[in-house]
Amino acid sequence: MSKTVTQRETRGGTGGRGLSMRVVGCGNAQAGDDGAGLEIVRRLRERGDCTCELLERPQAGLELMDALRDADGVLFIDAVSSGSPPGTLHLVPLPSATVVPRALGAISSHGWGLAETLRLMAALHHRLPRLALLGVEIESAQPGAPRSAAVESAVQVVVERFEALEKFLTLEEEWDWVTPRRFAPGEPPTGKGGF
Amino acid sequence: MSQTNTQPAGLPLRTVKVDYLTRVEGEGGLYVRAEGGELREVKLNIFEPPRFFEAFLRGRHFQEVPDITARICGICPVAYQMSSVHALEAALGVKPGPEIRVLRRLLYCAEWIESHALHIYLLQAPDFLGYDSAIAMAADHPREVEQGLRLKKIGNNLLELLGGRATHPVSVCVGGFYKAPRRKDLLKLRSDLEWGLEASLETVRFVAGLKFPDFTPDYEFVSVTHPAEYPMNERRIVSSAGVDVEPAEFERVFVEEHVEHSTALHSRKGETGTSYFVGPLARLNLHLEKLLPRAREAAKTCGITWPSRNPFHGIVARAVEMAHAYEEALAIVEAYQEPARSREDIKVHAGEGSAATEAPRGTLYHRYQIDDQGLVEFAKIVPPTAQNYRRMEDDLRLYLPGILERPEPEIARACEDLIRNYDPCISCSTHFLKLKLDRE
Repeated sequence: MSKTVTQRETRGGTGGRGLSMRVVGCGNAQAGDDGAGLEIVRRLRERGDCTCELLERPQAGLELMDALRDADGVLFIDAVSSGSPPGTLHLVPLPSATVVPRALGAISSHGWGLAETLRLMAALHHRLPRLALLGVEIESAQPGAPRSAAVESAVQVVVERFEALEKFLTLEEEWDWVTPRRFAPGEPPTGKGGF
Repeated sequence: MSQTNTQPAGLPLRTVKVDYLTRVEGEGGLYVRAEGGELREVKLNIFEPPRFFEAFLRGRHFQEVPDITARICGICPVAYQMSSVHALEAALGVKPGPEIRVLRRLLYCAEWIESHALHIYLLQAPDFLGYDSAIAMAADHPREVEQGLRLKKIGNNLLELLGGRATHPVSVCVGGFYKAPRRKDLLKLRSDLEWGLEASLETVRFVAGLKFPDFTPDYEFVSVTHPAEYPMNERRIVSSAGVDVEPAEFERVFVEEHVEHSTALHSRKGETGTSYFVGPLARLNLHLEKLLPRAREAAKTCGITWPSRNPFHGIVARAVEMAHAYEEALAIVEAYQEPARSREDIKVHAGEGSAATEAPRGTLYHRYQIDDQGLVEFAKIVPPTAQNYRRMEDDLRLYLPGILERPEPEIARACEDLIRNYDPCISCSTHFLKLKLDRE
C-alpha cells in the first residue's frame, strides 16, 4: 500500500533529532531512462515505509516553490547525462555546475526555474532547504523506449538502500550535503561517503 | 548596445537594442527605425518557432482536441480547451446543460485567477514600482509578493480540483467533463476563496494607486458578450465600434494575415484594415455592469474612470477581473450540486463549428471541420496575443515619438513596459523582446 508521510511524521521517524526531508522525483516516464527519478519515487511510495514526504513531477514556474517550502532538506531524484557510464549514481548538492538534472534543469516557465525560485525565497526570507540531487546517469531518453538494464539496476539499488540514504541525509552535519559523490554502476554506494 | 553614425545631412543614427522582452511568455523582438528624429518604422518581430497545431490536429479524433490544444499554453490551457469544446459542440449540435456550463465557468475562474495574479504581482507590478524583476521587488515588498503568490496558488488548487491536474487539465471533454468534482471537495476551498476575494479587492486598491503614464489611443475594444454575465464562454463577439456577430462570422470581420517580420499571424478588421484590442481592459470597458457586485463596486470606486483607453490601466482591469473570478467561484462553490451526469451523449456526424471564449489575455477563436467519423479535417485557432500584435505596433508608433530623445536603455524599457500591458503570450501566438532601434 502506498503511503506519503508528512513532515511531522518525518521528524518522529528520524528519532526527533534529524532533518525533515522531502524527496522529489523528476523526469518523463514515457522517455526511456528519463523517468528513473519518477520510478524510484513510485516504488518507494508502493513500499510504504519511507519516512520522508514523497513528491512527483514538481510543477514549473512559481509552483516549484511548493517543492522547496517547509522542509529542512529536499532531495531531487532525476536523470542526468554527464558522460559517466549509464547507471552511475551522483549525489551532489544543488545547484551543481557539473551534474545537471535533466528534468529539473529544464523546468522553466516565463524564464523561471530553480535558481530564480531560490532567489525569490531568499528575498522573501523563507527558510531555504538544503538541496541535493541524486542523479541517475542514463543511457537513452528515447520516447517510448524501455528502461535500460544499467538504469534499472541503479533504480533497484537506490530503492533497496533508500533507508540508509534517508538516514544519511537527515544527519545534521553540513558536509553531508556539500560533498559531491559518485558511485559507479554495480558499486554498492556504501562505505565512507556512501549510504 | 547603441551605435551612432552620421548621414551626409549630419543627422544622427541611433540603435537601441533590447535583447529579449523580459517578464512575458515566449520570445519576441522589436525593431524601430527613426530618421531625423522622426519615427519611420516599427516592427514587432516574433521569432518563436511556428508550432503548427492547426496542421497536426487534422486527422485526430475530436475528443483528442481539448487535450492537444491545452498544450498550446502552460499558463492558459483552459482557454484552449474551452474554445475547442465549444466549437466542436457547435459542429456536433451538442448543448451541455446548465450544470456543465457552470462548472466550465468555475474552471475559467480558476484560470483567470492564477493568470491574472501572476501577471499583476510578478510580471507587471515591478514595472510600475521601478524594479527590474519580481525578485528585486520582493525584497522591498514581501507582503505584496506573498499575497500574489497565495492568490495564484488558490487558483491553481481550484484548477487542479476541477481539471484533475494543475497543468494541462485532463477532465475537460467535448460534451462536458470526464468527472465532476465532489461538493465536499469544492467546499474545502471556500475559506481560501473568501480570503482570495478580499485580497483581490485589496489588489484593486493597490494597483489603482500606481502611477500611470498618460497615454490614451483611440482603440476598438473587442470581446465575447453574454446577455447577463461577464463574458467567458458564450457567445457572440462585439466591439466598441458596433461589431455584433455570431462566431461563424468571426473570420469575415477579423482577418489574419502573414507579415514578413513575424512567425505569428497578425490580425486586423477586415473592413477597415485597422487594429483592435482584446483582453481584460476590453472586457471591462464593454461589460463593467455585468461584473458581480463587489467587483463592480471596486471598479467604480477605485478612482479610474471607465471606459478607459489607457492601456496601462490593464493592470487594474486584471485586478477587478480577479476579484470577479473569486466572487463568482465562491458563489458557484456554495451553490454547487453534483450533476447526475458529467457529460452529454454525442452522436457523431460531419459538421463545422466555431466559437470564441475569453482567455485571460482576450478573445480566443477556434473553428473545426470534422468528418462523419469525428476526425478533424480542418482546424483554425486565432489566439488573443496574435490579435493584439498589430495593436501593439500601433501603440508603439504613437508612444515612441514622445520618448525618442531619451537614452536608449530608457526607450527600451519604456517599450517593454508598454508591451507588457498586453500580457503577451508569445508561445501561444506563434504558431520577449529584442529591440533594435536604428536612427538615421
